[in-house]
Amino acid sequence: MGDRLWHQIATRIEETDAELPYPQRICIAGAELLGADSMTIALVVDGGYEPLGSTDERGIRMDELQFAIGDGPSFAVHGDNDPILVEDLAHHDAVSQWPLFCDAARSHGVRGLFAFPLRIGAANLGVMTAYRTSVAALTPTQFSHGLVLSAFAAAETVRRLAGNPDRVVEAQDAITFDQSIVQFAAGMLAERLNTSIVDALVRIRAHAYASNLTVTEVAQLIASGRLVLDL
Amino acid sequence: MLKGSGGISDVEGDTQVARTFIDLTSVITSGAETIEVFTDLTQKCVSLLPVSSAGILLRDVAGDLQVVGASSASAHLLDLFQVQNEEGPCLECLETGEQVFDVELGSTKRWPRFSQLARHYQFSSVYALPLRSRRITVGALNLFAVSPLEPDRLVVAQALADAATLSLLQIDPQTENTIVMQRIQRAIEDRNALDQARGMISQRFGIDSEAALTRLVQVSRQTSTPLTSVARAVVRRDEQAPAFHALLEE
Repeated sequence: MGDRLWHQIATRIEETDAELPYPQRICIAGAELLGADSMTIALVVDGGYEPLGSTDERGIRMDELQFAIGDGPSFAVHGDNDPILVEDLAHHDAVSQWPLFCDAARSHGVRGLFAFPLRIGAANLGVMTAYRTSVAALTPTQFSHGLVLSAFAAAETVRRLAGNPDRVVEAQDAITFDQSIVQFAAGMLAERLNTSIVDALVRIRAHAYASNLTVTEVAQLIASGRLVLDL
Repeated sequence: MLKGSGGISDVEGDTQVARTFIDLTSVITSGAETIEVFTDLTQKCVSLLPVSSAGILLRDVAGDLQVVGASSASAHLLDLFQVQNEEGPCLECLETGEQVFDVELGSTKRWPRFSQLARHYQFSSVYALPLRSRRITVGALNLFAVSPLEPDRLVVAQALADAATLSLLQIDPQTENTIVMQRIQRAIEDRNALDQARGMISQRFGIDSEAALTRLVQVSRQTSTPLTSVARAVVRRDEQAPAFHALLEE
């Protein structure tokens, strides 16, 4: 499995400065892989924006700008949308869609923007954005890296919310384990506790960590009614 | 002529096969959501072909395999087993892009653990058919049967797989790789959303996962809403969605 993209990306993140917060390390590796000048990961919960990680100040400023004015691709991609790829923010298509943001971005020297939703099933967690100061489309390889990184960032976000330590192996687990049973258990738990899916996923992960079980094992216990997690 | 479970007469069968192709084609033009194509395909394989179960694996952008549809719990487990143990016909099929099958499981040393598990579920023949997009194999359709398939039925199965792949990817020759990748990721997220909704419905009504799916499918038909949209409405408790109310009634 050593040559799979997931592992390549995990390795690239591992190679970044271990002293830095993990979300920032994802952004640094991501900027390199996507050829971006700034890269950010942000949580968007109930419409509220919260920066999780960024390569630099400019990235955060660009994110904040979009969520403050409610205009821009990163703001728009949150929801049911596919990734939004804008290679030239000066192009009239982009300008007519996000007039306020395009204008402001260009005044900060930002020319291209690639926004990927962070999503697990029907649960929206946030958005990952790559910013460029020059005009160029993402290559297919860069795009596939973007998709995998956003899945990585979504899994990382859940793990972070559950208060788990940084373990790349868990991120791998998040993709290859029996997703069906985990998502099913999260649905059951969300319904019983009347919480969101994100909250349920976080609880399952936190319980797995605390009880030294795998996420799949906890999900199986919940699905079979042998484990009842309370508020 | 047809043997095994789920077999139907040729004439009736061919009519249904033709209808299935029309259904799959209409999916392309209506832009229905991707995961339904595959959930549907496994069910259609079981009703149109003399096979007991069917499952579908897709290769995600990271190169990992994901089970995106299965007609039964045993097919789901057998597909998952192949992914987790890196052994089985689906994996070979994905590597080579060719059909892989064994009509008498356990008679050779091929996939010893997989064969044992399949035998445990009473399957003696297994087929893995590639889901192809031009030169890329994006996934595989697994068929599990209690006796070997006639060659002409295998042709029908491959044709169904090809049609489903076409409709999933909505491919024309100009479709870029990035769009293909995006659609595959979308299908996997759709599957997750459907599982989340199944869990919620199962908890709410005290029913099992299969019954929860049946209920979601019923509401999808009643309200003419794509299954994935119904699932999303449930998960988000979207009170504006007619499907949400239809589900909670009765």
